[in-house]
Amino acid sequence: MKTFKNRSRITYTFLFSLVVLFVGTPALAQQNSQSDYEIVQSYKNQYKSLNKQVDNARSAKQVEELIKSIKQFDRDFEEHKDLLNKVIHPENYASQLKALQKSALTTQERLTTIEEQDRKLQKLSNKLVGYDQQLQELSSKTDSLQLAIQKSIKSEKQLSTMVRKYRKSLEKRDDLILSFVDSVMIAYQKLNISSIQDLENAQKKARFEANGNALNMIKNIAQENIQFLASNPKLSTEEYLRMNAVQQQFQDMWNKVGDKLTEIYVEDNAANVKKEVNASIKKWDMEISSRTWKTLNEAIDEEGIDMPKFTNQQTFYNTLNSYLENSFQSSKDDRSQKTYANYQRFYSFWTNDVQMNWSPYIERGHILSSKQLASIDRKVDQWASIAEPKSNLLLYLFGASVLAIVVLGVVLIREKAK
Amino acid sequence: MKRFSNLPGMIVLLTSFMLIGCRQSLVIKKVDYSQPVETVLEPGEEGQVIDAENNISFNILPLQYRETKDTTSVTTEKIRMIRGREGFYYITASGYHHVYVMAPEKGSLKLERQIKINNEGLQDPAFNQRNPYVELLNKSTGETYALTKKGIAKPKTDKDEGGR
Repeated sequence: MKTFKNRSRITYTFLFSLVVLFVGTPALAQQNSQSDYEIVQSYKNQYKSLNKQVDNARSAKQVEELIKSIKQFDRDFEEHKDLLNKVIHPENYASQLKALQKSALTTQERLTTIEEQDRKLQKLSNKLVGYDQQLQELSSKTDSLQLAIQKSIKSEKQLSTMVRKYRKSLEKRDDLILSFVDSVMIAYQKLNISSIQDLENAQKKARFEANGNALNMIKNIAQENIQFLASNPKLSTEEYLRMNAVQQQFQDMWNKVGDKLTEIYVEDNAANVKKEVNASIKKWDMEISSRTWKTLNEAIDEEGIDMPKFTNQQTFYNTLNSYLENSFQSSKDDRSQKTYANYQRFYSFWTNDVQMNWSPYIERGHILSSKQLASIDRKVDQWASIAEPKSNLLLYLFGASVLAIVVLGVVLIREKAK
Repeated sequence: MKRFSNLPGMIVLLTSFMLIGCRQSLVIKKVDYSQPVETVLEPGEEGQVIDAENNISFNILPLQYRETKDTTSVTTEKIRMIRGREGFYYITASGYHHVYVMAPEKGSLKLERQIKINNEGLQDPAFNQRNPYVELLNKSTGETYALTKKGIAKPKTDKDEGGR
């Protein structure tokens, strides 16, 4: 049994040796029979090919594979470096290999950045699609509500419910636009345009024709708002102020990232497209501004505050300032009930409307800056210090005291006379 | 007076010797002409080969005639050429039986030696620089020959491997 085992072991060893001999010999012969010329040609061709592959690489993963190939290339040719150094002068094997490795690493880094940007853009595009859908839903809901309110012959209670819904819907719509503005600002301000161009060159995708085109959304939002305002909706001062603030933030966003967006999304006629969007946003600005100033003038009138009309930020601030300075002087000159009533009206308007409800929109809508608001506050406080009419209580007390003394004197004299 | 009759002749002779001494040519020795890697050249229609890298061009037809006795057309597909340490060009081609050792001369290449390799002809020859030899490799068989201007120097040994 043992002999049989030994015999079979010998047979296996013999067969294995034969296999190694037959499989290994041609490869060995091939390797040995390679001439220096072939080694050099093979090196040159592979080097050129690797360089080309690195240049044309489309993904970081591809470059990772190429880096492995470069390592293998080095292992294959390292033993021939003396021969290669004689042929590839003035360069040498080490410098060529180093240049190739450096080029691969730089490309990998560049492609990783591009892919990261791509992922960000993709994420943003998906988000924009979501915004677009929501915005359209809200716009159509708002439109139908507005129509229903206009046609409504239902009870006052039903009408007020509809108006409440309508206003809520408008608020949601504005919030959504602001979220869009935030997203666009965060995403596009940090985007590296040259990387985007690289990405386009590298991947040849017409991705930006897709739904998540931020530029199209910007155009649509501006147009929709113009149309909405043209339908002359009946809104409160606060609503107009909020919409004005939304427009201003939207415009700020456009001023900051408009160039990048047009570069990303427009292939030809970028300047024309930008001009077109500029015009839409400007028109939206004019429409909402005129309505905002009108409604602010009306609100002040309704409060019974006698103030000259204003039509823009500067005239509004100047008017408020001169009104407060004049009122302060009037109260100083005449601390009467009349001037005090003026103060109370303005104070109520300033505290209850401006400070409590409108100040965030006033600041964000560039109606007044925080500094200007603080300055007006100080003037109102100053006015408050002298607004109350002068009290006659001391005079009355003095009169009463004199009268009491006189009465007492008379009583004493009478008593003495008795 | 007769003693000095040959004086002018002697002066001329002396001056000539002096001048010859001054014009003695400058010689730099131990020059290494070896080309690190062979050149593979494809002859043109007329048999002209041009090695732009090493700045040499010549016509292959005289060699082809020597090898095949035929110059009616260029039958040599590619020639392989390498310059040895001493400056001789070693030339052969696929199908050739010989390696031609050519000495560069003024405007010409002169046959120094015709080395017969075998009777069958070289199927896939290549030269490697293996100082002090030029190695001829027959890639189809894996055979190698250490060549000098005098012929096949010796069968290749392991020691020769390190001589690149």
